[in-house]
Amino acid sequence: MFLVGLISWWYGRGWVGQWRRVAHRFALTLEFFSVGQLLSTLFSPFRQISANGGSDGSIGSELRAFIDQLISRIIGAFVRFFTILFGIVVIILQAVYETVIMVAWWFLPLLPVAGFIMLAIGWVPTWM
Amino acid sequence: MGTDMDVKLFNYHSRRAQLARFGRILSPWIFGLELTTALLLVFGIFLVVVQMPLGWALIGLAAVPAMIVQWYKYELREVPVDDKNRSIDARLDAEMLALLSPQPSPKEIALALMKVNGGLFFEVRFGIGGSFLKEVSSENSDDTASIFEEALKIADSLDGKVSPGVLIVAMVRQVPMRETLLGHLQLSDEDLMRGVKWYHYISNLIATKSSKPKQPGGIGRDWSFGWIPNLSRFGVNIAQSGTMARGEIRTDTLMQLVSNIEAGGTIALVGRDGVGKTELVYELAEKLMSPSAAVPKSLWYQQVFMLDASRILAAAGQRGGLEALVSNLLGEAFAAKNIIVCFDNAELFFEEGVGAVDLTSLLLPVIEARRLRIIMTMDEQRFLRISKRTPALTGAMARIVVQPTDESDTLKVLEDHLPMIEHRRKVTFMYQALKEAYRLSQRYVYDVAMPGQAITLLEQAAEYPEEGGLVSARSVNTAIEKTTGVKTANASDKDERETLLNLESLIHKRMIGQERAVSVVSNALRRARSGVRNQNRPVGTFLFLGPTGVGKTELAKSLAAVYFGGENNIIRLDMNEFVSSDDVARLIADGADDPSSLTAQVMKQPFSVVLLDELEKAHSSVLTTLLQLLDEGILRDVRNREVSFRDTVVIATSNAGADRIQEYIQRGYSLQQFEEQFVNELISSHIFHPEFLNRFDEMVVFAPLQKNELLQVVDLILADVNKNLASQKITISVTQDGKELLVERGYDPRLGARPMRRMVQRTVENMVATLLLERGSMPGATIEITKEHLEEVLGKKQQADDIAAGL
Repeated sequence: MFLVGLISWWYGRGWVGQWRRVAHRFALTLEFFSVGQLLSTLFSPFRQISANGGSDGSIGSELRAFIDQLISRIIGAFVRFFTILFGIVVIILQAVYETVIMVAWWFLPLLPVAGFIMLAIGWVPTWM
Repeated sequence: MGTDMDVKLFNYHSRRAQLARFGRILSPWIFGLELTTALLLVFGIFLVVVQMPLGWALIGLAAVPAMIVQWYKYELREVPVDDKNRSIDARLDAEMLALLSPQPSPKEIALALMKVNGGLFFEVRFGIGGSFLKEVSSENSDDTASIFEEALKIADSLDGKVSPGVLIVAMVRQVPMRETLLGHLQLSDEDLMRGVKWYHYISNLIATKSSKPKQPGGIGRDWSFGWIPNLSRFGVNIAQSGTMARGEIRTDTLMQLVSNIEAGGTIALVGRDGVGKTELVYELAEKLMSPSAAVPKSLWYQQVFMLDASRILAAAGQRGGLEALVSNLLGEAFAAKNIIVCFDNAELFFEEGVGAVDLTSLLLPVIEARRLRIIMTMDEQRFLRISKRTPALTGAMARIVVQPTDESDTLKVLEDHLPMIEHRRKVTFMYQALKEAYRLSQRYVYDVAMPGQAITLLEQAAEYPEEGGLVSARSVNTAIEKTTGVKTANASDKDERETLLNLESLIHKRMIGQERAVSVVSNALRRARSGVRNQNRPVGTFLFLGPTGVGKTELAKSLAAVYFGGENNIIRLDMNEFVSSDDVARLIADGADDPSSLTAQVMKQPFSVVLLDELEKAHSSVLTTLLQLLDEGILRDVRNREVSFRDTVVIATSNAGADRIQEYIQRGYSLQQFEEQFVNELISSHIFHPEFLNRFDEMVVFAPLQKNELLQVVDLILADVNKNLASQKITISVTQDGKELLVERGYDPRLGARPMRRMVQRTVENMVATLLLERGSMPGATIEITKEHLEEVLGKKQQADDIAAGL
């Protein structure tokens, strides 16, 4: 009963549960990097750095405010772009990892048999 | 019927029951299995690396414990309830399921309850659990079906899960004397059901807590919003600290707050202290950080910053500096675009005073402009004061009134706060303590509203835990008794019971006669302390009628001394000082302005005798004010606070009709013969309004003292004199004829026994003083005073009259 229970869970509810956990982990990663939001605000000023600067209406102060805005937007775009890039890399790596896990899940119950077959064959990798 | 029979029968071999048992068996081995997996892998890889094929077998074998661990973690540890199946083994808590035999008896269930978390929760919090139930449960497994049937019925009314709590409630309902049992534990069926919900809430909270994201909204959430160095320094982002509240209380007010915030501008959260205004802002902050469909998208991830008034005031230095700083903070919040500024206790920013500063001129334009989202929490009285002074300010705010919570919501708030208090105080609270805290704080904790009232008392009760750090209802009673002196629990102490049973004789040690008056007062107190009185009225309200010097005031004093812990526990008001309607204000004045007002004294000393002397002299407005006191045991002071008189004995004395009493006595009537008629005459005379007189529990007529009673009064006075002389080690005694002479000369029909004390003290003490001066110190001596001795002093009638009159 124990073994039957284990195997039936492994390929039934266990497999579905594993999918759910993978999906949840993906959702957390996606939310953490919030790529969509970063893209939509790619050129927004970073932390509103320029917002506190008042303008007295003169050409000089207007120009200073414009340059502040520009710098803020450039910094924002730079930070967001690299965060998006880093996020995409992390998401891809996670996707690979999760795929390996999901595939391995199917083959894990076969591993003892495979181990004994390998023992019977007697093959081991040679390093030299 | 067939289906019902099926569901309540326990199927030991059901798949879920088997899984639960596997989980229980595996539980202690999980760490070992994880270790085995790791060791097999490490050794296996090592052997493969050193060219030994055995390593493959070890690596392959590592999969077995690894799979078992996975199975345990994701299924066996918390075997989920099967919602589609209504059988008991599909709904029963997995921990319990694992412990049951194929045919469990009620006793076996009770024993299992002692081993599972839910059972222990009830054992500790409610004082009812497996250890008690096993004593009253049968060992017949046929009785189990009815318990399971009841449990399923309860579970259907909740979330469908038969938790240990549900089983306990079901088992209690099967106990034949359940009402007695619950009464003994100060619980009801409803309380147990509340306990089940409480436990389910905690279980769900633990289950869902770990799945929440650490940074809701993502890493880049705030990058588009402003840099807020000053706000971070002088305020707190309250969403980060979170709240213990479960979000089920005042959901309407919270949604009203959300909708007003969306509209923009300033919101004033107005309510009494302790009502939960700040808590509501915390709930809002949390709601915005984990947004649902109910929250408008424009408010998602908006951050609520609570400004720290003391830090701002301390940092600002001079006045101009303060305005510049606040202006800077508001500017920062506006520029950031994702900040809601919260001024907690906002009245501090609109009034001059210690720790407060008036920034109306700075804040008014900001509030009127409605461009920045601001929440201000304010005490309702202060809000009205500010409103009166600067109507434009409050007019520009959207006002949301936060009402005090009722009993059910207060208990939920207390349940939510318990983990924090318990962690801080290192104690565990019983549910009964929460209920008692609600009940008693209503009456004895002033200046804050619910639920703050109950939390205050609960914090105090944590100082008086019982054995094992358990805070029970008794701890709450003790906290009240220590802080206010009120005896809140029913009389259980043996000494107190003795005092109550012998109250009449104890009072008669201090005063003579007036048996009926002593008896009615004693009976009222016994009723109160045995718990059979009306809790929403004073312990007793009595009107003592009779001429001067018959013991009316003395009885009040005796009662205070014998039962209320000393003569000091008497609050005495001479009503001849309350002869105009303006004097009502003095009666209910705030303690800070007039500590001698009736409300202030009772607030400070709620367990006392309130003596209203010479009531007939009080103005009718004063008497009208006292009506509510006599009727409901409460009086509202000038600050509109309810002051409880429900632990006082209210005694009013009056000389009204004294002449009529003398007349009856002189005509040879006994008190019993004329008392009723006299009271009727008093009502007809309109000295007091009938509705006022009706408010008293009893009206007691005091008859003038008889000669034999006066002789006993002399004995009491002599005992007092001897007490004074005890330091000189001298005792005096007066012969019987001497006492009679003292009575004859000291008694005045108009003044009653009052001149007697003066007469005895003056004559006897004068004689002793003369003797001491003549013969020197005489320690251990007993001086006998005879009639002759007294006649020498009181010989002349005029001299005796002078002494009696105090000349």
